[in-house]
Amino acid sequence: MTTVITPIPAPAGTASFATTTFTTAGRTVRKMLRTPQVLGIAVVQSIVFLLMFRYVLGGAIGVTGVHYVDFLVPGFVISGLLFTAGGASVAVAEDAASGLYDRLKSLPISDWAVMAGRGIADALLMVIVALITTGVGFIVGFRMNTSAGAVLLALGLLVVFALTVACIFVWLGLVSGNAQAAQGLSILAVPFSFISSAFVPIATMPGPVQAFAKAQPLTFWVNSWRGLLLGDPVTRSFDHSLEYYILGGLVWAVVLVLVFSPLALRTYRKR
Amino acid sequence: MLAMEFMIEAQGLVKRFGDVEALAGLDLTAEAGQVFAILGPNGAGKTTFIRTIATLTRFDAGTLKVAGIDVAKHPKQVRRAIGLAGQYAAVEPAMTGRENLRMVARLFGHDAGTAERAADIVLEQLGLTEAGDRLVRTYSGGMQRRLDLGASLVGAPKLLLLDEPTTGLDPRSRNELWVAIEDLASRGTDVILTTQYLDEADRLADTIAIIDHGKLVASGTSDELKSRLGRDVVDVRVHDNENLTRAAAALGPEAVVDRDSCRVSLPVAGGPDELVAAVQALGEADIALDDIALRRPTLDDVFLTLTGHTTQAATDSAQEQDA
Repeated sequence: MTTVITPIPAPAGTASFATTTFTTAGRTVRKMLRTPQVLGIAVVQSIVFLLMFRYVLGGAIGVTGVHYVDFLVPGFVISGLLFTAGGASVAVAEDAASGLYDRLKSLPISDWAVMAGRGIADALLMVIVALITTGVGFIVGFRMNTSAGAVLLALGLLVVFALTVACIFVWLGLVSGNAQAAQGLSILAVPFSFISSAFVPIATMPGPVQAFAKAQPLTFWVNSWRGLLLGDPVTRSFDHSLEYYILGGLVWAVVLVLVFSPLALRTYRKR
Repeated sequence: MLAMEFMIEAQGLVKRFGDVEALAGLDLTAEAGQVFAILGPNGAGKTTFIRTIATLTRFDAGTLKVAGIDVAKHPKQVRRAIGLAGQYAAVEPAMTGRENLRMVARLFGHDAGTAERAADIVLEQLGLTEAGDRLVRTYSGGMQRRLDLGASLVGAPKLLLLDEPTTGLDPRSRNELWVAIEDLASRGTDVILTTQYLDEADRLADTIAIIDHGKLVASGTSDELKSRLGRDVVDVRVHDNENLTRAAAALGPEAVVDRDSCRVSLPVAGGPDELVAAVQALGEADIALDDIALRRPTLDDVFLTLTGHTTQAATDSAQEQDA
């Protein structure tokens, strides 16, 4: 340890916003790829539930216009974002406990960029799981009835929804304080996904539940995907036009990001 | 090295967590160009202090300058001057040692090429070159801490902040880390470290500040602090608490009691004569002794004399709160 070593030069400047985002996101992605059980569990869990709905519950659920499997897959994939995000909030809580955030906060970098890096990496994981689940959907009988443009739009929306959900769950991970609590909080995914148009038609729900289901973002997002991938047969049974759900879904996304990303940033800075 | 006279200038620093004052008007200055140790028991405010220096915790009152920069006004500039290694190894287990260092180097503002070189240099410096391309989850605890220390170095900081760098390490890893810190200091890096180990402060630091209950109790070189105690210490060990109290009474008001180890120590100026006097006083009081000896003072004695308790005695009321 006493050999002559050239000194490290002082950094020429500070890391840009993009470099910080890219570097911190790179760490999260590497961690996910090198701990494949995280992604693996998310995928397996998703497949198991998809098969349950398709082959166990599906027969008892009546939908109009399309086969239940066609109705199910878009709803399942979009609501699945929430379940995958639960893993992200656990990972955030673990990072916070590990001292990593103390190191990052002691560096001359933008806190916004650190949060952006985290959210982008988590959104990426969610999109990957969503695409794998969609693939499994095809295997169990899902068929699209749409155009290439609509599919591209659906993919774009998927990314927007994933980023939105990431903002919320990164914040949950930061406020929860530890991994167990974060795990507990991620149960929030259950009421939001079930009280929506994801698995069953909203019309069968009792009044107040129906009102919640109609207003909440997941219904907008699920119906956008459904409409874009299945076209006429399903949009005919909508209460509103497909554009209504797409625009409404985007408005919800913007509102949620505007609310939860500053909250996440504030919690990150304070703890 | 940029011209800076003081690495730390704290005046009347106050930080409250609810009702607890973790820092209760701390005044402390540390000159540049040295290793400076902040010594204190659990809950003394050490971690809170190092976190305020690292811009992680905002203080409620007072002023604090780090490397001449006002922390409250220019936290970003302070961050460019410091490197922090905390109590936990904040390295990513799923990345290699080299990847970890490269990542932090990029975040410090190095371009990709320099980041790569900085990682190489630090690996070499800390004896981790061979392990550099292994995933950190295969590292021993000591290696992880050394890598964590390395991560605070890749940005060539003017001032290195180490929060209890060897807590929880086995003796060998501890020694390795000490050698690494000494090595850095000899190359001219300024270091501030917190510790609750007297031997660590004694070995590494040029100057030691003793803090307790969020206030500065004393500061100086190890020798200066020891000399405040007089030349020698008469060390008396007894069997139980009752004898302890009586022994302390027999030895007079100067005697310092350490209940944990059933010891009374008495700073003396006169050497062997005073040992004889102490034996006589204890004999007259009819106290059963386990052991009595005359020895050179240690930092332990200084600490005990100044604070009234040992470094290990945790004060429940002022547990350091990070949350």
